[in-house]
Amino acid sequence: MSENTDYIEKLNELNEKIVLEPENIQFYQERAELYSQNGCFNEVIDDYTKLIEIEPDNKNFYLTRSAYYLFMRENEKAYEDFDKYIDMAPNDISTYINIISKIDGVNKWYDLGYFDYTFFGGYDYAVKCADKLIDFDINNAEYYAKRAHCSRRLYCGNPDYYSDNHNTAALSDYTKAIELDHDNPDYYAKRAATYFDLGKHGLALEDYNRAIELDPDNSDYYAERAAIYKYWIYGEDVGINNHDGLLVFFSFTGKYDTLIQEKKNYNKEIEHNSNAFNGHSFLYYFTQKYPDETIQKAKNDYDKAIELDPDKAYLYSARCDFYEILEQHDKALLDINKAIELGSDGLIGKFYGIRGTIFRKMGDYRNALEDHNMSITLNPYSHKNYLYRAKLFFVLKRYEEALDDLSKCIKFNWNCYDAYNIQKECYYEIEKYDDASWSAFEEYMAIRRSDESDFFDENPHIENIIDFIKKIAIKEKKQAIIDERNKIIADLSHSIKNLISTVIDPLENMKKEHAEENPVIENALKGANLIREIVNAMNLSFKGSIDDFYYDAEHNSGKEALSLQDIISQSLTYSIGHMFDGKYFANFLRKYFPERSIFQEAKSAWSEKSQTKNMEELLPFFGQYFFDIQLNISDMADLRIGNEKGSAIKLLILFQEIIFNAVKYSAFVEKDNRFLHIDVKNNGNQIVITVENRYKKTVKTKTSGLGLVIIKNFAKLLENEPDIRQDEEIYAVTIRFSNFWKEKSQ
Amino acid sequence: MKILYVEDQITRNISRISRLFDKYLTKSAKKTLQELEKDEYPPEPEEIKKIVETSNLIEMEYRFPQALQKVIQHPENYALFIIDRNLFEEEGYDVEEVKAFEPSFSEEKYETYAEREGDYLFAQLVRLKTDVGSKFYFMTAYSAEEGIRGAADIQGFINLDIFSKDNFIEKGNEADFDRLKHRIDNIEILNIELENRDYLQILRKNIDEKTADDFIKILSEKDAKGRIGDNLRLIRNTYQSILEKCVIIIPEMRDNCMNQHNQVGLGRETIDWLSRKTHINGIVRSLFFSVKEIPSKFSNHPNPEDATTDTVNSLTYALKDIILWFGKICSLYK
Repeated sequence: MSENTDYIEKLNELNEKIVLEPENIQFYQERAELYSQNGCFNEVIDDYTKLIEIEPDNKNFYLTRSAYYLFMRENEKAYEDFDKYIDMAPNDISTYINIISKIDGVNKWYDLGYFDYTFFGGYDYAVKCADKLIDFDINNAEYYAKRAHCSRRLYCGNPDYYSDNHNTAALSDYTKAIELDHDNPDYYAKRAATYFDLGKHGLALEDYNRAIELDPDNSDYYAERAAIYKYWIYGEDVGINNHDGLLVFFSFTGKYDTLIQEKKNYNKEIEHNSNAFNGHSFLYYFTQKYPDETIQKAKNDYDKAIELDPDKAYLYSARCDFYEILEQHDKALLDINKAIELGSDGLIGKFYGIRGTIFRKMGDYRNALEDHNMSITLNPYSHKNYLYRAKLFFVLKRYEEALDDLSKCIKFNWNCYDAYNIQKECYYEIEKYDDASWSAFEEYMAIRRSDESDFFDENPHIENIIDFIKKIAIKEKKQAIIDERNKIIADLSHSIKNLISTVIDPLENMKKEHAEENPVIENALKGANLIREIVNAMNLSFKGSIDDFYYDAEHNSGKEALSLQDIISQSLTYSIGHMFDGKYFANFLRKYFPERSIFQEAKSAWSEKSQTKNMEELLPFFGQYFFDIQLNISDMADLRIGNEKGSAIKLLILFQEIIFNAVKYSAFVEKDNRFLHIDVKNNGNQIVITVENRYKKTVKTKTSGLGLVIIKNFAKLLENEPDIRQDEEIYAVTIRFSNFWKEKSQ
Repeated sequence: MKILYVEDQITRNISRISRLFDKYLTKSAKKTLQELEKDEYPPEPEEIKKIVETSNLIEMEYRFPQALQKVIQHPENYALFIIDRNLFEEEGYDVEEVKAFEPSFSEEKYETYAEREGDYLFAQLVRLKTDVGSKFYFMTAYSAEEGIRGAADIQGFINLDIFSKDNFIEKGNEADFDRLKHRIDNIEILNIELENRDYLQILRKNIDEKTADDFIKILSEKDAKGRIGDNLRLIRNTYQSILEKCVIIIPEMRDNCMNQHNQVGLGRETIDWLSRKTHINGIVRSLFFSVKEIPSKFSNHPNPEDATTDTVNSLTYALKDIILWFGKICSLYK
């Protein structure tokens, strides 16, 4: 039985019970629980409303319903329920403690990363409850700690609330708590975190040290202290005056004298030149200069934390992050594997996302994609999971999929400027410059929303955006030139196509008039025919649409129809034939045939083979004189395409251009290393053609670039783009297009 | 003086090269080029270069580094530069290869001038104060409107406006081709060379390049009034160089024609000896006297009224006959 059927059955059962006993609160509670488990929160609220109707004096119903209101972001209604809850027991301390716990409980979902796009809030009410607790007992340290906690949570997830004031208020409350209970390590640790947020690293370190002194077995304290060191190592500049942390740190490590000396040197230099150290603070300068000390300290703390609590998954995740900063991917991978193995409610999806990112950085894209998919399955509401996968798609040049993920990421968190950043790069890559500009603007706005400091203009992201806009402007200008060029080429190729026939005809006549062979006329004819072929290809590449291919795939019985096998064999014959042309392809000819005798032998053999369409006859010849050749067209060989709308000739030209390129550039490779692989695959709805050859990277043959324009144009007609891969030795062109034949048969 | 012709795809353009330099190529060179053009197995560029350079009037380069070396080391050797703008090669040229003789060349320059190497050659010539306006032609498949790369770097050396569209020869444009050919055919110094090819060849082959250059100088300046004294001196020097060579090759001449300074005598004793031994006939004997005596007299008492450009001209023609005689002697005693 599926979960869904199970749910419906249970629901029907409860509905029936409620019909029979409409005043039985147990049934409503059970149904509310069932609704809650299945994400039907409005229905939960309805059931609790009914419960309140039945038992208006049951204060717990108000408290429970308030939680769902918060969850549905109906905070005002939640507050009304809190008010009612308080009215029923206003002098009971537990009333206020319960409300605070409830608010924390709801927001836990945010903390765990299930809903990182939504902070449910409620802490403004929680602060008031904490005030009330303090009113009850002004000497209770725990109440001050609670209020401090609520104050700090006020800004969480909501930039409108962000203010150091809340941290300052929290600081004052934690200090009061410590005053009242100076042996509670938790207060020190929490105050340390507050100090850290306020940029007072020295005081934060002192507090963590004290917390550890009081409770040396608490793994979290070590992990949190390590986070400070990690922060320094990462190279974040935390401001000119925040070097107090170092004073503490180095006084412990015995480097105090070094620190003082360095500080003197730093001050002297800064006095002399305010731009010294590129404006970085002393803290930044010092930790960059002596990183080993800091790294070792951080590592020791993470190791200690894990030693104390080897089953806490998030500690491994934290150390993994530390290793990632150090770019020690292998170690990071071990830690995140452990975190995944241990599992952790709510965090497991995040761990997969982290591991996917590590795999991406290590170049293991297959595993990276698997992990990112898993992270999204486990946690489909986390914007970061989509962001991470988008980053992978970007690296894989799968821009459309990256854009899909980014739009989801932005939907869940419109302040995620990283998402706009990649989005603009994706649009740039697929040459949608207007969209790229718009994303850059959105990125700017997102940064603006998250950085209200006076140093906004110096934010390096902004410089990046400005550079990007400049880049687009240049690209757009170039694109306009290319568009204009293409238009001219399209117009001209049409005219030339007509004109060139007026040259070819007289040349053919002259050839006939000269009984004996005349190489000058032969060469002129070859040249004229080459021009005809180029302009014809160019002319066709600007015409038509993908519908023509569908039509010709269906109407494929005409005498001009070609099978894929025909197309490939003709393309090879065309390309190899040119390699015997000493006039126009001399440089390639000489590479293939460095001696006259081999050339003559091959040419003589070619004159016998060139008319055949039988690949079995051609392949040994190619192997003997040109390159090792592998054809993998198997079940696709007999697919035929008609030429009523020019599709056969278009596919032929596309193949010719790609294979001709491969044949030409293979010439520069030593004979024994040359190969040509032609692979045609049927991926269900798509045909994927890959032509791969070995080439010499340093060789840059003088070219008009028209071949590439033709290939790109035909690919565009097929509603795709050629994927060109060039590594050190291999050059590969892949073209994907819809399987016209399959869709026809459907 | 020569023409420097730089093009990377010379194997593809044999007939153009043949037509362009038709006037200066020998019949056999043209025939060989024609055969190469017909050959289905393409020639190496070096083969074509060697054939064209037999003219002694044209130097050909098909690689940028070699062309640059010639341009920066001896630009004065050339009466005309015909340069293809795009000299990019299949297997590339190495930056280090260029830096070996042009230390200021760099990766950055390589990038800037890639596929416009001709522009770099142009810039170097401008820096070396070559009269590019009259001596430099770009061959290009592109429009003359396309700006010259690195123009900003050479603006202090040249007003690029005076380097006009006329200096751009569009490939395949017959009118441009004719214009360039007309220019090539009418380089005075080359025509002098061409017309006096036989004399110059004798001097080059049997004495040295400098003596041949001196003779070209005489031929090109023989009508210049301001150069009368210099030309007479050069005529006499050439005569002396001829006799110095004769002393080496003509049997017994050394024993009979050397003076007290152990130098070949240029006057009567030597001339009489050559007559006695029937090495020279009466006409050549008289020419010897003229070529020896007239420059000597003028040099001892340089009076502009004593010698004219006609004097120089008559001695030049006398010298020509002497050179022909010398050629025969060299063939006889080679």
